[in-house]
Amino acid sequence: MQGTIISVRRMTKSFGAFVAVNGVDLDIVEGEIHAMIGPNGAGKTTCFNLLTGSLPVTSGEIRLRDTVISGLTMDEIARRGLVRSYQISSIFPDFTVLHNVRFALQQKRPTNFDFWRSELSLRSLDDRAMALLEELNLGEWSATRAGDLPYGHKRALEIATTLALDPQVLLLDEPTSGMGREDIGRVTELIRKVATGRTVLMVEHNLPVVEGLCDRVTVLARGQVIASGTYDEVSKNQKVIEAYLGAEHA
Amino acid sequence: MQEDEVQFLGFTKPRAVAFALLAAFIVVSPFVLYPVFLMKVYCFIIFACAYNLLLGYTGLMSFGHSAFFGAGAYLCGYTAARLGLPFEISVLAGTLSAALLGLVFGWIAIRRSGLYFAMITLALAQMTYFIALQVPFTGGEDGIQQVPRGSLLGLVDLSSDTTIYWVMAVILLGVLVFHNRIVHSPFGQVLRATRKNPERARSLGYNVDRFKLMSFVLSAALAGFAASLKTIIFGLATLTDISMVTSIEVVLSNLVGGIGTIFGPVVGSFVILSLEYYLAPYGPWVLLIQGLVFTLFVLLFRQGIVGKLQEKLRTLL
Ligand SMILES: Nc1ncnc2c1ncn2[C@@H]1O[C@H](COP(=O)(O)OP(=O)(O)OP(=O)(O)O)[C@@H](O)[C@H]1O
Ligand SMILES: [Mg+2]
Repeated sequence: MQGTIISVRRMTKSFGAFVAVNGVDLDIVEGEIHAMIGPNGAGKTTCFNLLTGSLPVTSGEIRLRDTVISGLTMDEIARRGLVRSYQISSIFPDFTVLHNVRFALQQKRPTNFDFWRSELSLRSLDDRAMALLEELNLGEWSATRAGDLPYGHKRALEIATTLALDPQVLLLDEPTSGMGREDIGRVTELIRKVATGRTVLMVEHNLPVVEGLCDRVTVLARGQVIASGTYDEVSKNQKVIEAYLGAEHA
Repeated sequence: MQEDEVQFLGFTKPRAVAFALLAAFIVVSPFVLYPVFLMKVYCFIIFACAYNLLLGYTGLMSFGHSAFFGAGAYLCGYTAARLGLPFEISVLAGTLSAALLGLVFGWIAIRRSGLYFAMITLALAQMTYFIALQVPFTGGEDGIQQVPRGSLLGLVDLSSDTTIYWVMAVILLGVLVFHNRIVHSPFGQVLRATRKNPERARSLGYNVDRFKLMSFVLSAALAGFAASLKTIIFGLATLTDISMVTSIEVVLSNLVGGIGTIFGPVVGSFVILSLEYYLAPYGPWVLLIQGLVFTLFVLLFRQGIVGKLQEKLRTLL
């Protein structure tokens, strides 16, 4: 068993009087695929926003290995190896598909303030970008304007740009949402593939995907962790069953 | 992708053609048009390019660019007229002082975006105007007059309009190449991505505010450079340079020419300054006609003249 890579203690986020995330404790073990599930509005995306510094925490502490990262800016956290994808695809629509990935690779250059240099100097990144696209079966789309991609491919592109930063921890917010069965199978395989040598935390509504893919599951409801453990353990938990039934019959 | 096309000086083919046409115009025009007027337009084009970098490619709307233009004009004028330093040093002084002011403005304003950003720049520019009015070195209502033109590298005497015209012509073409280069540099890529999707750029590890600040400083420096050249050519730095009107004109020239296009500032500056120049005999009617023309342009070509042309070209090709 390896060590903990992310540890979250009493993480809380309030929007005015509404507490969206309420005293969440979470430990992510290095190398695992960890699922975060819960009914709509449970606070999963908000947790991601807090982990990545997109929103400041109201209170509590987040550590990446031994470093406290709560309070750092979003770009700093990304550069430390915690990179996310979004629930609603976040790409650069006017760039080509290749260009989107290259833009992510570009971030690793020693400086990007070189306004005097030609963008031809970025071409050395094209091979690596192309390889990533091939890995996600997007190779034939490389010259397409990203905004014109079909929905499923946009999601794949976003995963490709996220992977381009070679993150230690990959946070995926509903990577399969809105996809057809075939695409879901493909993306699941893909996540399995890219998870080697990395830690993955993913929000996922599709329970068979969670069952097949994830080592451990944390269940969130109304901003609180109500259960965590293996899929089998969690799925037998009474609170979890109630939360899901409650949500579905509401 | 654009960069896969044949390039000349970093321009894509259609832009290289536009660039060549402009170069031809610059060579022929002084035989037909008044060179001093042309030089005024050229300085303004450089100023408009500076503004375009910020509004067109960074997505930041500043209403305070008169401050950088004014700072550049006064500091260059002061260095040349009062300190008696040579042309190059004076232009450098104007450029650097504008850059420094840009760093201060940017550092304050970048914390906000949209309308708030614009209002902060406006407020800071108004404060700068007030300061320019109060401090003695700007010469108050008179400004700094009789700024000597000096010579280029101590070799070429710039006092003749013809000589300085050709120097100005080379500088203008150089600036256009430089402006295009900034936009199509690795840095320019970050600006473009950031403008469209700042949240994603941040989540990919880009410190978006730093890039915005850098763009702001570059824009201010280039504005100061434009103002310095203007001061040298006309031998004059006045309150007009640092007044609100200057900010408005640069915004208008960008809107008319086409925001976020390489040649928009060129066309826009020509239109705005020509209106002013050729309508001058009609006195106060200028404002009315200018207003009408402007409204018409914005209604007819929402992306500006060059933006519209590009769209037409794209559908033709
Ligand atoms: N910026 C915000 N301001 C105010 N309320 C917010 C904000 N972001 C989220 N919320 C609220 O916090 C709660 C949790 O939202 P969140 O998006 O984290 O849920 P989720 O678990 O990701 O849901 P879903 O499964 O629908 O994606 C919701 O009630 C939402 O309305
Ligand atoms: Mg969500």
